[in-house]
Amino acid sequence: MNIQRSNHDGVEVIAPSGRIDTTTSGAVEQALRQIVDGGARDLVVDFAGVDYISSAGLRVFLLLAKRMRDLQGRVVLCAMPEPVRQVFRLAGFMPLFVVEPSRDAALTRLATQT
Amino acid sequence: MSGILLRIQPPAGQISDHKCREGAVVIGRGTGADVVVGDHSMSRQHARFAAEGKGWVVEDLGARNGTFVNGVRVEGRHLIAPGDVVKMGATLVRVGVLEAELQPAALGVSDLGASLFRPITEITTDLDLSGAATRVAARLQALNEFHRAMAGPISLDALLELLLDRLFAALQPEEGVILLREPDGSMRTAVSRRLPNATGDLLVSRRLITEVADKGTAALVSDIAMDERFSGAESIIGAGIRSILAAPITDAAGCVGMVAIYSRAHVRRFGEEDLELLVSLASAAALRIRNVALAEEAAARRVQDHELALAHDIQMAMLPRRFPERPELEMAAALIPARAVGGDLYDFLLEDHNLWFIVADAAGKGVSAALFMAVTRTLFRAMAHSQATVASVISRMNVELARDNDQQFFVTALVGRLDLRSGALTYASAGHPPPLLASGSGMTSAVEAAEGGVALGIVDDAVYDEGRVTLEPGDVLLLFTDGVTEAINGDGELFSDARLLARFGRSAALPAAGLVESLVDDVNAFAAGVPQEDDITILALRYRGRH
Repeated sequence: MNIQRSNHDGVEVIAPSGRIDTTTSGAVEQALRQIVDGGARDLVVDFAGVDYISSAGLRVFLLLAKRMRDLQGRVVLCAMPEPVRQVFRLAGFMPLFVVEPSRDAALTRLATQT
Repeated sequence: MSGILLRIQPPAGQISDHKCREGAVVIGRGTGADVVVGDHSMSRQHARFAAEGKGWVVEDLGARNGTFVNGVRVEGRHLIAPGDVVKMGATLVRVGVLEAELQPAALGVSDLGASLFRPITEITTDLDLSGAATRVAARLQALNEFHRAMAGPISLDALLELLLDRLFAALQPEEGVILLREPDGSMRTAVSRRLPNATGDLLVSRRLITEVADKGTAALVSDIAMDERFSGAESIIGAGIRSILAAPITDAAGCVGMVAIYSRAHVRRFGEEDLELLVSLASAAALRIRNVALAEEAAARRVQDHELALAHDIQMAMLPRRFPERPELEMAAALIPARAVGGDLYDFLLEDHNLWFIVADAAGKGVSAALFMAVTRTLFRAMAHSQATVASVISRMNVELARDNDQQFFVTALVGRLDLRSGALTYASAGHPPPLLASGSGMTSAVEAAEGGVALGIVDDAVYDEGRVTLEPGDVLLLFTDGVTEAINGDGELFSDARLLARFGRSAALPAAGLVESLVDDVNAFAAGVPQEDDITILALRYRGRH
């Protein structure tokens, strides 16, 4: 598990890689919390490097979405590999998130909806 | 004639003192000697020390490696006096005045090894109790008592308090603090104490920790204003503390902590003797601190393990072990948690001709998941009854679980109701994998998933659609959690839906219990020792038709 972070014109892009499961979800949760605590209100989570996500990992993104709603921030998930998309879809969570196929599409979405 | 003290220092092992008041004593490595020393370069009877006239002589007894006084080889007998050093093989024998043991000057820190356990009474009774001697006696007593108190069973907190007790009694500081090293390497204040008249915040200077704990050196700062090591440490100076003593608490495996005492210089200025006592007490404490801390940690872990074992038993007891004995039905299930407690659940209720069942998987693992699982089971039992529909049961469970769910815990669930008269199965999924169906003729398939609803607990007004299928006599329904299909092997491959479907088809004709067992075996064989990541639940239900 490795989490890369970059800023694109005020949008924080977070790119975790590896497995997001019971063992690693705590680290991802903490990293996301720090970024939001730091004042970020426009977030993109890029899943391109994520091999696997478990239910514990899903919960991290539910928490993030809820927190961003409460703060009137925005979060877009993007570049989900098919196995990751499957897990979101099976749990019925796809309608709860804004999901874009690529990082560029996610950034465009946040740029146009201001 | 006055006696002499022979302080015998072998190449390895303990220094020992031997008092000679009169007569003679033979030193050697053989058992025939009066004083036996474990030194192979010594002869069996190496040399004799004897009173002669008003003084003492040493006589070489023909030792192979000779006897030397102050570096000069002895031929026959040689007069000796206090201060002489006699070399016998690799052993040094220092000649001292017998009364010297009672003088404070003999108690340099390097000699503490030999002095430490000498009975205090021997010193205090014969002595001219000058101020210095009284102080020395008090310090020896502090050490002695500390050792004795530590010899019995003692908790870590009591041990540290005892150390401060002894330090305050012997050295009269105004403040004292003991820091222990945490597993992450940081230093935590374990106990502290100060006299009522001390003012300001109790001080733990980062600079002092660096000097003492990190570098492993004892520190004596008799006047901080004059010590350049602390020239930038304004917090110490600002607190009005002028004299500091600090020592690392170090055992063979490294630094476990440090102890520091403080005083304002006009009240008390610490000296070297004070430092020696602090170092001695800290070393004595170090031997016990790590052991006691490890023992307490182990005890806490045992309590925790015991609690978890109890929780495991309670959770397992929530699962039905007996299945309904009805001619229409044959059921079996297995639930294997990945840890002591888990988030998986299966349950069923039989009401007249309706069999209600649930297989569910709470997010995460461990205690939080187990609690969520227990609540889910209670809600299922409360809401599944003959007048309810499957959709209403799962919706109401969702509303309850979503209430005040700030932590966004969720549970995926498959709830179903089988009419045992007709084989009509109604089911609804909340983010759960669809069940598999094997027909009596051996065809297997995933039951067409109704539009899968969102997992329970997240969206309080979520809507759940019902799916319907009619079971024919001989059909087998298989419910499971994703711990089965997401079990991984050494190559990182998933057991997968496809593999489960294939294995299910191969074993579907077995009795339900045998089927469940064989699928569990398949998953275990696939994982081939890779530790189980997630709870595994399998429930098999064969519909036999109406009899």
